[in-house]
Amino acid sequence: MASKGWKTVFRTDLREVLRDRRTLFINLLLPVLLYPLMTLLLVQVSQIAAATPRPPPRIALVGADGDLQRALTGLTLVALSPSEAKAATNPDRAAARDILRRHDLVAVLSVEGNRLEIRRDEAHARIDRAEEAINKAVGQWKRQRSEQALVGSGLNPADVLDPVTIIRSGVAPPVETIRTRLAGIIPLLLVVLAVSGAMYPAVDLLAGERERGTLETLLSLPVRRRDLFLGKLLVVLVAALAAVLCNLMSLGVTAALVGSQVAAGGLEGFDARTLAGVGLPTLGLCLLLLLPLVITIGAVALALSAVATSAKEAQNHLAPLLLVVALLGSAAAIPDLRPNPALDLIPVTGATVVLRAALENPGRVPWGDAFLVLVASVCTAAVIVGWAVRLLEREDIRFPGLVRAGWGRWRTWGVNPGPGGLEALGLVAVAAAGMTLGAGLFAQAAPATLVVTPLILFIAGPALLHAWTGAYRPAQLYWILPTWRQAGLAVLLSPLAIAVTLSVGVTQQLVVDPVLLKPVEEQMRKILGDLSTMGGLPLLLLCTAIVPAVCEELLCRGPILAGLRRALGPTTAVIVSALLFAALHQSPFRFVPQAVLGILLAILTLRTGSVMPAMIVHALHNGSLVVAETVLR
Amino acid sequence: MLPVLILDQVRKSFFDPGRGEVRAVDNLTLALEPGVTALVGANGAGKSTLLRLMSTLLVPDAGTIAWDGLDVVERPEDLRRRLGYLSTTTRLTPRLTAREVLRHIGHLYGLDGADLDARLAAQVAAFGLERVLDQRMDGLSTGERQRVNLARTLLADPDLVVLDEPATGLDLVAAAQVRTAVRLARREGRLILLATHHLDEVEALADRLLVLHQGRVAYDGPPGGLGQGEGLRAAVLELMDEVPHGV
Repeated sequence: MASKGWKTVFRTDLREVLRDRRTLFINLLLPVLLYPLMTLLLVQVSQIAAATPRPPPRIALVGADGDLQRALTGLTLVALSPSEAKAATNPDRAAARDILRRHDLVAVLSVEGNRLEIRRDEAHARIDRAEEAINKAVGQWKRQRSEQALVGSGLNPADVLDPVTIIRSGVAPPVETIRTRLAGIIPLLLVVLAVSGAMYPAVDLLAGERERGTLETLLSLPVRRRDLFLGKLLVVLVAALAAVLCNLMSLGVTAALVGSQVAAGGLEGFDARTLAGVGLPTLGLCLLLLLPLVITIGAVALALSAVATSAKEAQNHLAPLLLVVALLGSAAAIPDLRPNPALDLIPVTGATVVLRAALENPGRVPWGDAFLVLVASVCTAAVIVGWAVRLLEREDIRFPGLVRAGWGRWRTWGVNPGPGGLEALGLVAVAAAGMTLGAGLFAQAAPATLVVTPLILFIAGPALLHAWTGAYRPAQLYWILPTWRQAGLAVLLSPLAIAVTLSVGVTQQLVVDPVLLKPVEEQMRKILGDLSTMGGLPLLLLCTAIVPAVCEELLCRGPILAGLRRALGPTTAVIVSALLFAALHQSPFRFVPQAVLGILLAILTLRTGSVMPAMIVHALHNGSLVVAETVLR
Repeated sequence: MLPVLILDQVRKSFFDPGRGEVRAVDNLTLALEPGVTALVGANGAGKSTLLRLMSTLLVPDAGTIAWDGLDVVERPEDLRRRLGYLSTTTRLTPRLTAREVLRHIGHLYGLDGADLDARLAAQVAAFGLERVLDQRMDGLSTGERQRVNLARTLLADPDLVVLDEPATGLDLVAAAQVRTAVRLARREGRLILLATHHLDEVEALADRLLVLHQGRVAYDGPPGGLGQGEGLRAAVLELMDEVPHGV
C-alpha cells in the first residue's frame, strides 16, 4: 500500500492543479499566448509609430555655411537673435542651456571658418534622431570641404579619400548566425521558465494546502510523509516541464511565423530550423542536463513552500529563488565564457554554460564538461530531493506555527540531529569555490604553500567552521579515534586501495588519448620534483600524503558523508560523497580513480564510525604513489 | 474491557518566543478503552495537542504511546491505517467533488474496487450525501462539508476515531447531525475520542470524561461523577480554574 501512496497523491494533486484556473493560466495559457501577443503588440506599436508623424528635431545654426545648411536634412532649423546666438555659444553652460530649452532646441551648431562647435542638450527626448542627422550632415560637409581642398591642390579626391576598397561578406548561413546569438539567451530562458513554472504549483500544493487545512488531513492518513512529498514534487515537475515546453513551442512557432515574413524581406533561413537545426544529440543533451536541474528547482521550490506558514509567505520565499537561478544562469550570456571544471560544478551555471557551448556549435559539444555537469547536477538533485522528501517527517515543518527549531550554535530548542544533506552540499560549494579561488591566489607561491595552503584554508577550514557553528558532537561527524584493530585494518587495506585505483587509472590510460593526459602528468611531476628538491622525501610526503589525507578526510568523510547519510541513507551517501570528492579535485582525468577511492574510504568510515582509518588509507595510498613516481622512477 | 490506547508519562512542550517553554501535555499517563471518551478543557489546556499526539501528527518529547501494544512513535503508519482523524483544522480538497475526495482517501487507506464502492455507498447513505456527491467541495455549505468530512473519517471503518470539536462553527441542524453521526459511529472495539466545549454533548455521548487543565488530567471518570446539567458545568469550570459569571 505505502509504495503506491505517491501515485495516488500524484494523480489527485494533478487533477486538482488542472482544475485550478490560475495554474492553467500561468503554466499553459500564458506561455502559449505570450510570444504571439508580444509580437503582435510590437508589430502594432511599430506600425502606429510609423504612421504617427514625428516632428523633426529642432536645431539652430550660427555662422551660416551654405554647404552645411543644405546637408542638414530631416531637421527643423530655427533662427536665433544675435544675442541669443552669442549666449548659446557662450562658455557658460547654464546660459546656453536656457537658450536651447527656451526654443526646444536639441543642438546649436556654430561654424567659424574651419571650426564647427556642436552644443547639445543630451537630456532632450529627440537627441538620438538629431545626432544621427547631424553626424550624417557633418560627414557630408567635411567630405565636401576635403574634396574642394584636394581639387584646389590638383589631386583626385577619390584617390586620397577612398584609397582602399573594403568589401565585407559573411560566410555563415543566417541560421547559424542567429543560433549563435540565441545560444546565450536560451539556456537562461529555460531555467528561468522552469522556476516560474514550478512556483505557483509549489506554493499551492504545500503552503496553500496548509492554509486551506487540507495538509493536516493528508498527514493523518496512512501515506508515508515522503510519498506525500514525492507525489507533490512530481506534480510540480510536470507543471514546470509543461511551462518550459509550452514556452519553447510558442517561441518556435512565433519565430517560424515571423521568420517566414522576414525571409520574404531577404533574411533567408530565419525560421523554426534555427533551433531544430542543432541536431538530435544536442537536443538530447539539453533535455538530459535540464531534467536534474528542473528536479532540483522543483524540490527547492516545494521545500520553500513547506517551510512557509502561508501561501503569501511561500511566495515571498520563492521570489529570491527566481533571482538566484537567474543570476546563476546569466553566466551563459557572458561572451566568450567557456565551460571549465570549476564552472561545471556550480549548479545552474555549469549547465547553462555547457548548453550555450553545445547550442553555439552542435558539431563540437564539450562532452567532458557535459559529463561533469551531469554528475554534479544529478548529485545536487539527489541530495536536494533526498533532503526535501523527508521535510514532512519533521515536526517543525508539519506544524511551523507550533514548533520552532534553531540551528547549531544558536539552537534554543530541540535535539541536535547532526548535519543534513543541504549542509553537505553547501560545504562542497564552499570548498569548490575556495579551491578555484585558491588556485589563482597561490599560483605564484612556493610549491609547498601552493599545495598545502588551499587544502588547509578551503578544505579543512570550512569543515572545522561548520562543526563549530553547528555545535556538532565529534561522533556526529565521525571525528573520533578508531580502535587499534580498526587502525590496523586500515593499514592492511591500503594495498587494496592502491591496487584498485591504479588499475582504474591504467584502464583509463588505455581509453583516454595519452596526449590529453600529458599536460596533467607533466604539471604533477613538476610540483613533485620541486617539493622533492626543496625538502626531500619528508616534505614530499607531508605535502602530498599527510596534509591532503587529513584535510580531505576531515571534510569529505566527515560532515559531507554524515550529512548525505542522513539525507539519502548509507548506500546513496557513499556513492554521492565519492562523486563529490572526485569532482572536488577538478580534473576530469582523475575523476574515475578518485571516485573509486572515495567509495572505498566512505565504506570504511561508515563501517568503523571514524574518519581516522580512511585518513590512514588515504595517506598510505597517496604516499605510495608519490614514492613510486619520484623516488623509484 | 482491556485498554487499547495507553499513554505512559507523555510530555510535549512548545517553544513560545514570549513565554519560553510551554508544556502543552505534562507527564500524562492514561489507559483508554473502547467507547466514547470526551475531552474537555479551556483553550490551551492541551486537548488538541493530546489528540495530535495520539494521532501521530506530533511526536512526544518523552514517554510512550501504544495502540494495541504497538509503539505508535516507532510505527506511525500502522496506527494511521486504523485511524480516522477530524479536527477543526482538517479540511478537504476544495477543487474535487465529494465523490473524488472520498475515493482518493479510500485509495490512500488501500481500499479499491467493490470494497471501496460498498464502503462509499454506506457512508453516503449514513450521512445523506446523495445530493452533494458529485458537487465540488468548494460549492458545499459548511454543514455539508463537515458531513463529507465525517464520512471520510469513518470510510475505512477505523478502530480509533479522533474528533476534535467536530461541531464547532456549525448551525443547530448540522451540529445535531454530527452528534447523531458520533452516536451511530459507536461499535464494538472502537475508541472514539471527542474533544468538545459542549457539556450536553458529553452527557449525551460520552462513557468517560477527561477534564484537562494546563496539560494535566484534572478529572478522569464518568461524566455523571461530576454531576448533571448545571452541576456538571459548575464542577468542570471549577476544575478548569474558571469562575462562571454571576457566581
